[in-house]
Amino acid sequence: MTCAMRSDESGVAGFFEDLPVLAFVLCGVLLLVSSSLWVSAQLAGLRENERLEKLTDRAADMIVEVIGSSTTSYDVPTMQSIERSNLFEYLNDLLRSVHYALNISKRGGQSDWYVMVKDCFTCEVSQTAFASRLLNAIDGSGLVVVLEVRLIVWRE
Amino acid sequence: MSGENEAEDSGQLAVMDAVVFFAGAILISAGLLSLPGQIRGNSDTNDATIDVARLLDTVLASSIGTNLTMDTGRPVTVSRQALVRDCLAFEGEFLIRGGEPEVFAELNLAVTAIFDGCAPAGMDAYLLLVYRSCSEPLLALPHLPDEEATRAASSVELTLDDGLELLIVLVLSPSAPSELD
Repeated sequence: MTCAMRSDESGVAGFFEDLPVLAFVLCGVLLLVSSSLWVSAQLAGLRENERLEKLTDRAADMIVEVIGSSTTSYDVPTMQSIERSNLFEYLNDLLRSVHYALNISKRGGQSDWYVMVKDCFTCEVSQTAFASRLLNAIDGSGLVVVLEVRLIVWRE
Repeated sequence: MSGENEAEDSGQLAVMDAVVFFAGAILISAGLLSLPGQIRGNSDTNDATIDVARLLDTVLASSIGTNLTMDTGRPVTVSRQALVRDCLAFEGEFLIRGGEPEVFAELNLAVTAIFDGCAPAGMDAYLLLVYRSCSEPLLALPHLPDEEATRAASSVELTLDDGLELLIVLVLSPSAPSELD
């Protein structure tokens, strides 16, 4: 009888003595798991952002190529040929699942000239990416000027 | 009695092990949490370097925009349609032969204005003309400040008519904070 009582007491005392150990171990494991989950979510978000940035970069390069190929008589495109190029349809084909706004304007100095193309869609924005390219174009007076192509894309 | 001591010692050892494990978990978590920030920082640096090369190429291929007349011993007229690259090549050749940079003051102003207009917001553009056999640049537009800052640079090599090689270097440096800031 005495022997059975002693074993019960040591069992109960052992359990309570182990509680701080258990608490530290559980906290450590929780910390590791929660930080790993947070980091993996962040890295997944970064990968998605990276993909969107690459798409935007590629799209900006292709827009510059399309603008460059829109001229027939000069090595450098003219501002008129840029105005005439159908960038809206091209961008709709290129950026199917994402929304975009494209602005082409003269860089440096005062100028009112610009071309703006965007899809008319408003939504909650979760990810955005931006790309900018410089290119040369001939203006109405025959000067070679610097134009900037700015493309912003976003995902729902 | 000795059995109780042994049990206490092993209990304390277990708590110590748990504390060490917890401290290790904190360190590993801190390392993990700093990872996304490091990756973001690396990708930003690469983008800045690419932009300078594009900026330099595009500005060199653009027109100077104003008619200029310079006295290089004989009057030289530069049309507003002349390309920046050709103007800088002409100036570089003149400077290599020992000419004074003051002759090209108007041209330098026009070139500086174009680079300033095309430089990204918050960045100042500095242009250097370097001749291979000279340790000092032939021309610095404007003078590059000495203080260390995060800079991005790109260069283009021009071969002049008589085979001389001229290096055009563009440096982008963060703008100095103004007194109003």
